[in-house]
Amino acid sequence: MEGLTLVRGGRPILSDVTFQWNPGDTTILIGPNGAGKTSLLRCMIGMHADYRGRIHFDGRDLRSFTPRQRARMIGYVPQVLDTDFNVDVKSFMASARYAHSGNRHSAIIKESLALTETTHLPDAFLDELSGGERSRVMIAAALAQEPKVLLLDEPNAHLDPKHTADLVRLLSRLHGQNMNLVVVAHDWNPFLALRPQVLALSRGELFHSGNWETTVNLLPELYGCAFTEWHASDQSRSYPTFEIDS
Amino acid sequence: MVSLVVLLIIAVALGLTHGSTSLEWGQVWEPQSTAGRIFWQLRMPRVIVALGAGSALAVAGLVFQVLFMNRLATPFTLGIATGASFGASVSIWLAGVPGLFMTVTTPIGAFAGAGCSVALVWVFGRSRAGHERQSMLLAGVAVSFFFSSLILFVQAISSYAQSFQIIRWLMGGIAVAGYRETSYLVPAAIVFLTMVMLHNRALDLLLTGEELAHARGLHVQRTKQRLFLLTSAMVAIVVSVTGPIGFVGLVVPHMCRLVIGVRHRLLVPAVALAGGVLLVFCDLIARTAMSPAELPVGVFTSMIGAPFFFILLLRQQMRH
Repeated sequence: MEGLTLVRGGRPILSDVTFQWNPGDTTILIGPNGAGKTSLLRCMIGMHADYRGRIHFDGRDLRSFTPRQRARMIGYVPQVLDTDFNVDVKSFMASARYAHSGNRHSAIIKESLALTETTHLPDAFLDELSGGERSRVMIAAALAQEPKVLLLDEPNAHLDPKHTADLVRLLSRLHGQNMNLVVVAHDWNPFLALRPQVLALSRGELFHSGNWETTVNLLPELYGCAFTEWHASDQSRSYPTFEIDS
Repeated sequence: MVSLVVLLIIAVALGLTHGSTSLEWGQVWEPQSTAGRIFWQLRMPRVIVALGAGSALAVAGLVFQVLFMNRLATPFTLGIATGASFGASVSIWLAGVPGLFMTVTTPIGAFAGAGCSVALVWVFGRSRAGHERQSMLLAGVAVSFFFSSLILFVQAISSYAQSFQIIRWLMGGIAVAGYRETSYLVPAAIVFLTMVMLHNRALDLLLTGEELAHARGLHVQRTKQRLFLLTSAMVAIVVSVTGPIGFVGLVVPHMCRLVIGVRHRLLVPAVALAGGVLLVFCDLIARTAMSPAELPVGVFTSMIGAPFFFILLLRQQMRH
């Protein structure tokens, strides 16, 4: 990603963001609200195509791919499902295979549902599912695209602790299969077990990039509040600390 | 789906055999007899137009609901019907004395009016502000109100007889339909339905929201523009023939979604069939309910459609 700049309504949403992914990297994308995290993901799925700068993929400009070619490389798990209709899980999964032709659809879909432990839900409507089930179905749908890169927008926002642990285990497995993961997170602690790279955005600009050890001391400056770091069973955890006037 | 086809056959059969006059069935096959002429020159084109218009309006409603991700969208949400009504009103007013001449000028006026409103909404949609789908709907509402006021203005300055004609047109009806209308409405409807059917997977994707449609490999902007123009053109043609027939485009997609689900490969044909059936039935009621007087079909679609829609809303309230 080179000099990525996106302007909306005369205001830069992203300005001059440059970042390098290596094959098999897991990256967490952090930053305060409105820092441009979701916009950055939307550039990568072709939703915002009028950005300046370049996103390279396998040495080729992302914009030179057709939408279907792109969808075979990049999967996306949105934060919320933006629909006004009752979509059932089966249809939702089926349409995830749009970019692929051939006859392996149902096998791949079954496999993806199994990976996220949602096989029992095919006839349910998405808006009847619990937040956690819905998140897992959306991850399953993105996996059904068989992507090389998986973008997840706050995948743990609706998950209980058990399913968060399952998610991290799943991501770790995908990481093991050399899939590139990009995770937007406000609660990044669960993902630190994946030893991720960190891409920190602030007001649309690249604030910091590097591993977690080089990032952790910059958190107060990035978010404008105090943080406390804990170490538990060899893993770092950072939580915001604050006082309430009483 | 099978039951829909059966319903369709029943509807067409009833539509052809019943009307404000009962026919001597022995004479139907003699084209020059009264019965033959009523059957072939009046009823046949009328049933065909009802079928084509019903299918097209219902599928147009379905497409707009997906395109604007809004369950309340109808073929007329974007002001096409009001634009057409304004065009029709002006042509009725200009034509002076109602007469034969009007059966040509009114559809042309209506089509021109519909074109104006589509163009207005389209221009708005191309501008930066149009990126939000809600603002496109609001633009449609604004266009609609604008033309409504113009219709009232035209009515105010026209004569009593013209004013009555305008009101009658606004109610929607299939009474004027002959083979001239059939000759362009039916091919247009077939092309339209085929094109929508070819986009069935794209519609599935659009239903999951714009973000996911992009991520799953759909050329979202191009697809939406194509569907928008295609559907608008179809609605403009239908409206120019039948006037604004309400509720078919709103109710039928909902009915079918409840039964069939959201997969458009099945949903589009089902909506087309159901829309055709509904309009043929409504037109039949309109012709026979107060026989020999004919009522505008728009009265019945709304009369049946509105309570149904109310029940639908109540059911949805109860689910949440």
